[in-house]
Amino acid sequence: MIHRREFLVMSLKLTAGAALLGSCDRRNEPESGARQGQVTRPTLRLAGEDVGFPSPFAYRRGPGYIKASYIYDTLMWKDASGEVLPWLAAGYEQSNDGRSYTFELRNGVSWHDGEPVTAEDVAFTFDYFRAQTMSPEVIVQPFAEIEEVVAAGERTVEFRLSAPLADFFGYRGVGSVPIVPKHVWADIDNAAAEQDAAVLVGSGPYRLESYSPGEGAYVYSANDDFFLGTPFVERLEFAPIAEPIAGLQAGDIDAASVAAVRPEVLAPFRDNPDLEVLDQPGGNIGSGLFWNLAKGGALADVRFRQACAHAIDREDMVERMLGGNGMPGNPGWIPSTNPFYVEVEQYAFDREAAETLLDDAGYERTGNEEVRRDPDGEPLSFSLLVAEPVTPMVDLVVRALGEIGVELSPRALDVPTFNQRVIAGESEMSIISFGGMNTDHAAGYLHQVYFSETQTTQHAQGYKNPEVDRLVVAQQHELDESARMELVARAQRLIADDLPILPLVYPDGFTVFDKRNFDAWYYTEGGVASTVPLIENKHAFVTGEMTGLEIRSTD
Amino acid sequence: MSALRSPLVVVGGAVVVAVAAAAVFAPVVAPYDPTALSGGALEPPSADHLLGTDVIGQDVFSRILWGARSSLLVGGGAAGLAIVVAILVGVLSALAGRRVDVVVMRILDVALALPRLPLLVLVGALVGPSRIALILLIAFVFFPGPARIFRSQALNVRTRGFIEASQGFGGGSLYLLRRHVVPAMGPIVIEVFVALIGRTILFAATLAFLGLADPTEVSWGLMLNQALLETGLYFTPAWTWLVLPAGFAITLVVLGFTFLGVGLEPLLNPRWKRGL
Amino acid sequence: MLTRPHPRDTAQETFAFDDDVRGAPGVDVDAGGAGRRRPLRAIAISYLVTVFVLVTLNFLLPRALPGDPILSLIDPAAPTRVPIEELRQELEAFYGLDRPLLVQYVDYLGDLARGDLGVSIRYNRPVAELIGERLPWTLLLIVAAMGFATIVGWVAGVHSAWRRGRPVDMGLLTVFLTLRSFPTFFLGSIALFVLGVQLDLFPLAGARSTSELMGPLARAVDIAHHLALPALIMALPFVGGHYHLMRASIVTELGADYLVAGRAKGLGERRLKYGYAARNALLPVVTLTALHLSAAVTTEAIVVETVFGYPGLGRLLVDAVPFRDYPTLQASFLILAFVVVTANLLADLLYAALDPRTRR
Repeated sequence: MIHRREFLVMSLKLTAGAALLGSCDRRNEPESGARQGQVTRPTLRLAGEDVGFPSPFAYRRGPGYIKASYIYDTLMWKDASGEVLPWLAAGYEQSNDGRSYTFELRNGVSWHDGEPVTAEDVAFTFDYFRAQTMSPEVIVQPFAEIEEVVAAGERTVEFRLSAPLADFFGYRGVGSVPIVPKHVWADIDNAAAEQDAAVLVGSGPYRLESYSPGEGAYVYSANDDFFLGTPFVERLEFAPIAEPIAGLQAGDIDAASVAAVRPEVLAPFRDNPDLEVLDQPGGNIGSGLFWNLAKGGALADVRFRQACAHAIDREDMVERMLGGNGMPGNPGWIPSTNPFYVEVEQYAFDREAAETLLDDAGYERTGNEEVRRDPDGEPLSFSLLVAEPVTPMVDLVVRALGEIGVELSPRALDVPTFNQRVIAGESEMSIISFGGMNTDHAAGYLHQVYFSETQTTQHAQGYKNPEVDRLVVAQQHELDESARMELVARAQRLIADDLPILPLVYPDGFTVFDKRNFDAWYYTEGGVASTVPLIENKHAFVTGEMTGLEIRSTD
Repeated sequence: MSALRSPLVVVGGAVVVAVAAAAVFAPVVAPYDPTALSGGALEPPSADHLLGTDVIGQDVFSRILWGARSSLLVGGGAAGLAIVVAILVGVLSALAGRRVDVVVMRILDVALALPRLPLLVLVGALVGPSRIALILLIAFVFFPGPARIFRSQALNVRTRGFIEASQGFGGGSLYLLRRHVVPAMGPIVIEVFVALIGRTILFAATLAFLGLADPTEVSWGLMLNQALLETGLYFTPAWTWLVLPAGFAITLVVLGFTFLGVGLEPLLNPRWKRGL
Repeated sequence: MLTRPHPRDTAQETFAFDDDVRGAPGVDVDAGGAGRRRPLRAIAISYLVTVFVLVTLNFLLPRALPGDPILSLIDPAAPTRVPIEELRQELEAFYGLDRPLLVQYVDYLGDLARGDLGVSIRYNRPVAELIGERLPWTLLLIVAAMGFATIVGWVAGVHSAWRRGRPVDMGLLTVFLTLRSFPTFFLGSIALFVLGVQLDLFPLAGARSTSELMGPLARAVDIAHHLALPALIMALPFVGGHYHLMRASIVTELGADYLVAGRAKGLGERRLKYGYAARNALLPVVTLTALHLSAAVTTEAIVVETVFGYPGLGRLLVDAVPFRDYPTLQASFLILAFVVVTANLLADLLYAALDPRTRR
């Protein structure tokens, strides 16, 4: 029989014990063997999500690309400074007209299975990409302008372009296209469907040890024969964590990236001496209100769209939802922090102007009705497709438009269904998220979003402006900086006037990390592979430094 | 133990009346429209906003007052419906004869063994969380318990001989129901109903907390659900005015009905007077 | 000779407003208050009927409810169809909506017998696998919570009974009544905030730390550390039940002859209280009520897992809702219910075997 006193004492001991043990495990102590001044090869734990099988043909979106980049290399690659460094390539030469490049590969680089990396592999890679059809979620697919890639020697590769490419060293060019082994992929017909781990033979600093789909758990271990040397970080573990900053606080992960959080949420982390908070370059995350112009009616009428823009107080949204951690969306798409940015019509919050616009355009309220009707008598009532999870922003947009007599019915879908619905052109209005607007790729992004023939989730639905088409294609080939800027500026003014998309807010992003296990975290200037604005750049893990190709010593 | 009864009734009754008053007079007493963006987001409590504002800027105090309506309507509606069905099933089972009674009892046994929340989550996902659907569903999972109690009571009445006597005098079943069964059962029906409302309100709040509620309504459970969706809320002081008021509101109303139910028990159910 | 009412009879009064314990062994609400002993056969039949109803209900619900929920996922023309072609086809095969209802039912039973619970729309994995991963955590949580509730309830019950009528007794009664009124999700949130965030004593989510490198002892402590708060919060609504039962049982023992004799002999209060009274009060009834799981356990498990981010079956159920992942929803419901019902079967069987009245 338990006596009361004994019971109480026992429970007190247990609680105290748990608390003590708990506080012991609070932070991830540096791994075994770390004596004063010594550095050991760390294991990094990060929050994971399922972004697909990490082959260059099957991943999903930016984070998925990063997962593949640990295994596969590119000819050139960026470090923290944003400078493109020779990676698989040792050096290059380019012609004056920018239509041909010759790359010399490094000596002694081999695939994970021991075979040497040759120019043949590079040539094969570009041909292979051309021959495959992949989902738009595989974000890196080489420029069509790369006409021919030829192996001119054991380690010499020649690129011939149909037109000069301003971004040749960046996104969709040699700074981002992953090189794959010919001897593995030559016999595979459907690259995207190939999801057997045995196919993941790369030249990169890490090998995939395990991947569980659904959960999104990935484990990578270092390739000690990597051409730059034994990678500094020994293991990368991505595990599903419901709330990354809670996980960081508990010591479960080493770095947590968050976006759209208020300053108060980060305050305790900024005050903690063991942690550091990195600010992501602004304007790299966004959400926008999309109209499907192809559906016709009011949706295809620019005055309707402009009225909607005037009705939504985007500055208030930044205050209300983000506590100021962000900026209002720019109708010209490119954020004000980017070199390509030029001032365009901002559609300042002005409900009266909105009402007037609608009145003048023939959208009237009849009788006592709240909702306006178009000249054909159809009510201005639309479905608003949004992806889970539904944020308060949706509510704010619905209210704002309700005020001017436009009725929106939000419909929430899970992410894959949402993407599919949107790409298939089945939405009337939708709120879609995007990222990477402030990378090197900013100008090229305009092409992705506003060119009339692209097909991505973020594409301006049903939008076709031949002048915009001409401008966004021309800027791709303009090697002269200022000429290019002028082209991009003109494009921005047009898209701001046409307003097929209203970017709503550009929330700020942050990464909080624990300094004690690894401290070389950085946001790559211009984005990883010139397009992904995330923190996980393999360069940092390989070298343990922020810049350069020297690997930090571990003894 | 019996000394505890009166204070329970008093306290419980006061709370219930207060909540009902809040529900009825919300439009008059609430300083703001509960869905209006009357302030900035996550403003701390101040003279303008007694309990601060929520994630988009709605006044929390007004929403608490208006939330009483949803609680009482859904909880009360479900409880009321459950009681009505329970009376019908219980009494008819008791009076209908042994065979029917056994079958009904077995059905109620099985119904009681079904786990409520998982079932409601499943059905809620299948049909969608409209207010009507929720009232019906909650009533459905809560009627078996009271049905058994009422059946038990009805059997009691039956064995007391009034029935046979009245039948001897030529009284039809409806007459029996009205003259003997109902008055005998009245007190226990009230007591069970009061106790039940506390539980249906709690259950509806739990469903709302999990996201299964009419999103156009102002409800306390949904307020908590929305508060916890906000990233990193736990790390900010906003937690105190977003989570505590709604949580305490639910607790208070459930407490009120629970106390009332327990307090009324000995007055209405003489068997309590024995033993404890 | 004092005639004391059988503890079961007083128990059923105590729970006049708490029908969750109605199903507990021996606590039977038939007229007369004598309680009814349930023969083994009745227990077994009752169990089988319940399981049958569960299984059939699980089968019928998605097919019988308005709105054609399954069809809306499968129909290629529906706006809410599942985007991945393979997955859609698997669903179609699994539900077999084009076949006659009886055939569907037979197929369904066959699938269940083989352990085929369908494929999750959200995760694109067999549901049985997901359940296999999550169920152990829920079981752990339930065992820990019920254990805690029982122990605390008993100790408080003994204490209260001994000081029957006095302030401590009234106080404890009020405390437990009040505790039952607090929504678990509210208490959980507060506990998480105060103990987890402010005081940094407990982790904020998960069942265990994700670090791979941990010895077995460290791992056990880590799991217990993650389990502590969720189990504690989950226990709270159930403490009252055990408290009441223990208290009632002891109260009826207090008038017993041997206690009077014991006091006359001069035996110390504590020895009487814990040594004799409690031991006798810990009749099979009380002990086995501890083994009995109220169906409300599933409710609390779901809530607690959601608040504390505990990766159990309850959370799997709730997370499946926005994705309309019906196979996962159905299977989670079925397994959760099955676990509780089966646990109670075992408790009932045990009780039937140990009922002192059968022994007489």
